[in-house]
Amino acid sequence: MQLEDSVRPTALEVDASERLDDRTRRDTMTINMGPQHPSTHGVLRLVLTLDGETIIKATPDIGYLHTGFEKTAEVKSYFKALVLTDRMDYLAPLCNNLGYSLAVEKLLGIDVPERARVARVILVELQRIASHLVWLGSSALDLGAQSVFLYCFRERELILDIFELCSGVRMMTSYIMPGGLQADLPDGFERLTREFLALFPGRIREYHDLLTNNRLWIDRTKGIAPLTAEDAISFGCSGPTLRGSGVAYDVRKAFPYSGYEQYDFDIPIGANGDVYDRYLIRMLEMEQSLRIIQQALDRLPTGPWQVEDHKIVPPHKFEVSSNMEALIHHFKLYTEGYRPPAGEVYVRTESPKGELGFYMVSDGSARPYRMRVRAPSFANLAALPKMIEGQLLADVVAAIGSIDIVLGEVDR
Amino acid sequence: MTNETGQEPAGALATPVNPLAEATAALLKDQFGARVREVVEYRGETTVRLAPDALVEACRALHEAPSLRYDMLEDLTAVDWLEREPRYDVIYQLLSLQTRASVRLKIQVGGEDDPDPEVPTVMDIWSAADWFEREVYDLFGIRFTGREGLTRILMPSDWVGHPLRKDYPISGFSLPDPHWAGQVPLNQPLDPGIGDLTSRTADGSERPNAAQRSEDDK
Amino acid sequence: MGIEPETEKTPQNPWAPVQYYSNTQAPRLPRGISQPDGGNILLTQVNKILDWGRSSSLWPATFGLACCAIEMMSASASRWDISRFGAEVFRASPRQADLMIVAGRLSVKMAPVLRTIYDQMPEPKWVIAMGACASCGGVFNNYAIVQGVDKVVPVDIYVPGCPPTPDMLLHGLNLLQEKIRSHIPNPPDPLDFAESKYLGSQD
Repeated sequence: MQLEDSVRPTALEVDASERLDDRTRRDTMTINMGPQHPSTHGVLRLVLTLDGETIIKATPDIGYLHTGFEKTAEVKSYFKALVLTDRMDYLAPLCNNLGYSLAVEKLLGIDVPERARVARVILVELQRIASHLVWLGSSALDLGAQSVFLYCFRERELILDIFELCSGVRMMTSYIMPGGLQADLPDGFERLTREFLALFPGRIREYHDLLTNNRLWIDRTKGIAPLTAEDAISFGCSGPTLRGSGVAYDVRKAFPYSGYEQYDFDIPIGANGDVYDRYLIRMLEMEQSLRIIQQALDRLPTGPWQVEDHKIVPPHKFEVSSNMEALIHHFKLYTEGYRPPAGEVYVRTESPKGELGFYMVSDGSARPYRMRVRAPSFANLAALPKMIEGQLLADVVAAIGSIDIVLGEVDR
Repeated sequence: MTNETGQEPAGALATPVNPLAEATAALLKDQFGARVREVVEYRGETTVRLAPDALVEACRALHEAPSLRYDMLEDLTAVDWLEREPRYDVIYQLLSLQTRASVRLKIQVGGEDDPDPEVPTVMDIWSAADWFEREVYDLFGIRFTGREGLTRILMPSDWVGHPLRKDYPISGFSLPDPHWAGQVPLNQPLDPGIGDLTSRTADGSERPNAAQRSEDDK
Repeated sequence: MGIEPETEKTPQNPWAPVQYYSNTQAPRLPRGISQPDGGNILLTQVNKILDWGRSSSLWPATFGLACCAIEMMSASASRWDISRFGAEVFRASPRQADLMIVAGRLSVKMAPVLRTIYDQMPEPKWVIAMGACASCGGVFNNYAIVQGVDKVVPVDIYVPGCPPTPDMLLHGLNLLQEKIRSHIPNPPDPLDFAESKYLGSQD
């Protein structure tokens, strides 16, 4: 905390007739927020210049979680770079898996069986709900609502149980892979998912009861940190941050992938672009996700869950020990991997944070020549100074919570 | 393992063929003639390669063309083709929210005699370019001219080198442990290449192995 | 029966004695009011009470870095409920904490911050490295990630996994409690063995 000397009047300059608060008003103060701060959702650092309690300049400083994903992917085979994508947006690993898988499949020019495609939609929508639950719990916690956090994590555990049943892991599943799924959906999957579908609408109502009409919540969020549609588009925002400003752009509708055009769902959009609108959009999106999961479960076909080509997906372990060809495929896949033809593709998917783009460049070798991730949080965070300049210091945490950043994805 | 429906499922390829891509390419060819170097269609995506001096004009034209209105800069990144001349691709992925058109612009810069190439900024057309350009500068060392505040964004401000260049070893530089605070001290000679996955040094030559290096030191 | 001198009973500590002075704080005594040569009944009993108290009310500093932080939050939520072990009071200020759970990968840009926060924590203090990245760098053997936080701060307990499940974190916490109760000192500070002089924040 320091006072900027340049703007502080010296004793000689002060006009005696000037009132005291006129003089103090000229003082600005620069404070540092983060990178270790409980309300910055990770390791974001903000340098804020304040006039009293009003923010006149905000400078985000990122990179405290820079992990070098893009460089690391260049030395891994396509088959192995999948596990890196889990760890980028760690609140929605399956959505990252899907984006990466679609990009590699597009490079290879292959298509996955129907069962895999429908299962992917179910998993990704479950993941979207789980991600929104973490967002809801933690951003409510930032604004002082402790109990919401406990309820949200209670429901999130139900979803993680489903993932654990499928893949054996709670979070970093790598379950969606190029060419389909890692394994077939297990026996209890449909029952557990249907139980969740039956339970969750009541729980959403509970959250609405806790927050949506809560006087304190409305006072802290309505009219706070507004973002106009023009600014949101210019900054490349996407997801609920863009839709909160009234722009109806959802990749699932605009550029349908993985069969999203066959499902009936709505895109909630806001009007004012403030924290409250972004909050409501995510709440409504969870209901829409439930609708999609319901439709997908009803149409989930039986059949193969992977492509048949064992140059791309590993053969079954049983075959490896009994079949010569399968053994060769297994060996080739794990040691060398497959070689997509040279070319470049850009694949956009709708992650819980917004538009997640994978730009993959292949030079015909077994490793991605370049894997570029267009992270939605990165673009959304760039718009943060636009939102909070002119607002009060106490509202910064509300604004950061409302754009739902994940620093693992911002910094990559 | 047969599909019960028996038919080849379709629709997994993410982006459908873009109907407005041809219009975009035609508009650019119309306006810039030979400065449009190449138009490539691959897997339903259109890439227009431009001369570097046509970039800003082309972006502005696409941003303002009434039938297209590319109002969003989705992505801005670069690719390092180490042995090629010119060395870097700079990629602009554009999207129109109104018409759902999407196109990729590409320029090629850099090379042997131009190790730190310069590219004009598009920040005054799309604000999103601000951070994207800083990221490309940080990781590739491509400078964007005509703008302010081109500083490192992901790496520490005292970092040496640009990590996503292909001649940057993946494990970074060899420093005595622990080398977590800042990067290269001023009096420390740069010694690239403890990376065991890539063995190239900053000047492109093969890295001598550790035994050789200690002999050289003697 | 009879009370044997403590020196003969106590097994050799697995590590050499810790540093006796913190880098930034008041002089640091060895854990408890211990006596160099033996000690008497009263003080050994006081030590036991102190260690018991410390191990049962660990206050973690919130140091969530990446994926593991979400599992750390899960551990503090109702299903796993870290408060059963007295460690639910997550403190935002390092001055009020005595346990640092480093949850996630540590980048070179973040490392000086981590060290600063560790130095700001009052004695006695412990560190749990949660997850593969914090323990050894994990899958990220590259230019950006510090290959294990034990290059920066002394680590008492390593919890493997990517990310570790909340039960694994709780198990790590239990092990740490056991370690505190059995009076095992912190491992040596890695910065004492740093070859070079240019460490510290370089702005």
